[in-house]
Amino acid sequence: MRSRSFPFLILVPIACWYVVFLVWPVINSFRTSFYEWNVIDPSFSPFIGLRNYIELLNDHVFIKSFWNTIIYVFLKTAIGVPLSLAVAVLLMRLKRGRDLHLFFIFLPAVCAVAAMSVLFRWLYQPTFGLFNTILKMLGLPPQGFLSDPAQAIYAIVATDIWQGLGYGTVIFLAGLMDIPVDFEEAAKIDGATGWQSFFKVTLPLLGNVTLFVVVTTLIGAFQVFDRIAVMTNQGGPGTSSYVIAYFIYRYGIFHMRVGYATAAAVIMFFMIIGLTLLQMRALKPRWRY
Amino acid sequence: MKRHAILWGSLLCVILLAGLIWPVAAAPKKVTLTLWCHQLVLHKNGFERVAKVFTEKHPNITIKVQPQADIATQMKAALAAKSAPDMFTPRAEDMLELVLGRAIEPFPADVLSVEELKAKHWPEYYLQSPFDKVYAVGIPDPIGDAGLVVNVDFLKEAGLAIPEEFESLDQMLDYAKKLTKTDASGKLIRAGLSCREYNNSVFAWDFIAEQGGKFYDNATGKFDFTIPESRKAIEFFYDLHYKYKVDSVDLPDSYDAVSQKVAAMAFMWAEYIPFAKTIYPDLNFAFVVKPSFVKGRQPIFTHVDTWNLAVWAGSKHKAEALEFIKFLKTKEAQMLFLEENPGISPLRELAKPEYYKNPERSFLMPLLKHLPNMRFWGPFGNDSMIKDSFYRTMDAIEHKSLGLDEGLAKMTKDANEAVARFRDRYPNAPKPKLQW
Repeated sequence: MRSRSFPFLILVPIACWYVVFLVWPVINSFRTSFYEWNVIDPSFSPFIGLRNYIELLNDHVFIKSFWNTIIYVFLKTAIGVPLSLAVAVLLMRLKRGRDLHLFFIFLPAVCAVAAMSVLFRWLYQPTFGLFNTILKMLGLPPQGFLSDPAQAIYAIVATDIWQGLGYGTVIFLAGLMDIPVDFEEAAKIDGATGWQSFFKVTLPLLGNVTLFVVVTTLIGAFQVFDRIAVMTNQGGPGTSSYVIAYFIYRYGIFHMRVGYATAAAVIMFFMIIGLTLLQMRALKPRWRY
Repeated sequence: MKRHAILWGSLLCVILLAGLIWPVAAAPKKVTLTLWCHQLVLHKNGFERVAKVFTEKHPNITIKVQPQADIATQMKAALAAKSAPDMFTPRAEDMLELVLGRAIEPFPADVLSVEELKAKHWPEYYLQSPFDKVYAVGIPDPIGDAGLVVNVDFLKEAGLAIPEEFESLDQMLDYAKKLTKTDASGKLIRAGLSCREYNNSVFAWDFIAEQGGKFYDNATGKFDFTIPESRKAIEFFYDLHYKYKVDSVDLPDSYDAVSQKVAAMAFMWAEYIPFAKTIYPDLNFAFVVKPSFVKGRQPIFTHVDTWNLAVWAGSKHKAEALEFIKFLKTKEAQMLFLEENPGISPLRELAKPEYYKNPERSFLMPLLKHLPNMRFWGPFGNDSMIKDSFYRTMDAIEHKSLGLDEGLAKMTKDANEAVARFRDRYPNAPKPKLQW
């Protein structure tokens, strides 16, 4: 009896911490989203039912933020993850200098997001920036990048993919190194080509690693805030680079419409949960070794 | 004998104890008040200067000045946590909600009455909280949208004299065109005149009013930015990019553009002049009063972002804090503040040239004669949301992602919705009566 209860007992402190700092705030957020919450004096906070949610669905800024978030998450995951995998595979094939290459690829991932964002803000500068200077040298028309409402969100996600490349690469590389060489050799003996061996043997065996990278990339992309805050002029031009996390900050912290911002956070919460469950189902590894 | 000894001994003990306690009870209690102010070093210096003199007069009260980044948000969070400082500096746009939310202490009549405020202060200081009691006292502060910041070196280089004020839009545009620089391909590399700053919506509001346009109806309490005067005003800012070609959306916004030397002139808050001196000492800026939108008419100025000092309703040292407020409203304290932070004092009697001869404050001298033309737009409730929507919509129009008429309709809708939400929360909030 004593030994059975011991594991639960030692879990009590961490469980308390979770309940106080995670479970309770989440439950409280759900509650707050049904109020026009007044920070200064909560007694002036009327219960308004679903009004915050209805207003959100009719708020063009939120709709814009929603679609920008979808674009951001999709591009970061659909480009970032395969790119990391491709780089990891190439690094695996390197006979010499793998660590040096890995070091340089991983370097941006350890740099502060804010610092990188400031740097890219300059690189993207339409008049003096390096990217337009290169485009001009190639005889191509200069672009607006961050100052073009149609391009801003893509310019930001490109920065994120570049900076996050090293992180995904390291995880995939570790996964690849963990796969016993016997599988690939057996496939070779059976006459499989390089591509066949990769898609039929290596990739399925990387299932767990891929799932991990995809889920963490997706969650990270959903939470993007710092890049938007640093690289753009308050989510601009206009509201063209607003994402849900930035929307929550702007309305919840800046304008203090806490109930409204919390409703947006609840929507984001369900989006993340839904997509993660979907991915866990779709990418569930079928092979183990 | 023994009984007498006990009696005398007890009496002696009582006398000794009373002797120990008496000085403590008689000495005035030492109190330290906390004061949160805007992080601008000029504000901090101003309050510290006033606080130092105040403590000399009231040795039992010391004031700890604590500048805060993003003070409006910090303050609301502190009020929510019920651990706010004894005094803090609310902006005019937050006053209505702070009063209705009972977050700040009304001043007793002997500290500052509405009658005294109306008699001695500029109207925006009593218009910002339209109640029968006073809730805050103003500090010297430049008028937000009074004019333009110009780079002196660029003007000299172009052979242009630095005027005290632009007489007309034509003169200002002529300067802007002469100061604009393009590269060989015709791309703008220096704006002659930039107007893309978060606080700049008030310039547009002035331009509307100068034409006689009314974007807010006092009777219905509704906004309407779709009026022709409003269209003309917003079109002007759009035209700076596409008709006059003196600014480009590809250049940084005004705040960065002037400091990065890619804008020669910019519509900016006047505080930028003393602020720039502290952080960009190698740059040489001057201030030029803006022209009226209509030739021959007097320009209108807006002072919607006045800075004030209020006492937290939950403070344990209200009496001492009110004592400080009493001092801050005096000419002596306002002058002390003015010496550290160049601005226009809320006290009308200080709007005299003799107080603005000092080189640090002389840039405000041309403004003095225009002070009766100051306007206060509001308080509408949710004023910062209205400003936010206005800025974003103007930005979207300038970036051509929103048409002009579409943008004006959006500004109208957003402003009315923001006010309606506020009135849902505070049904008894007084409606503003704008002095057109």
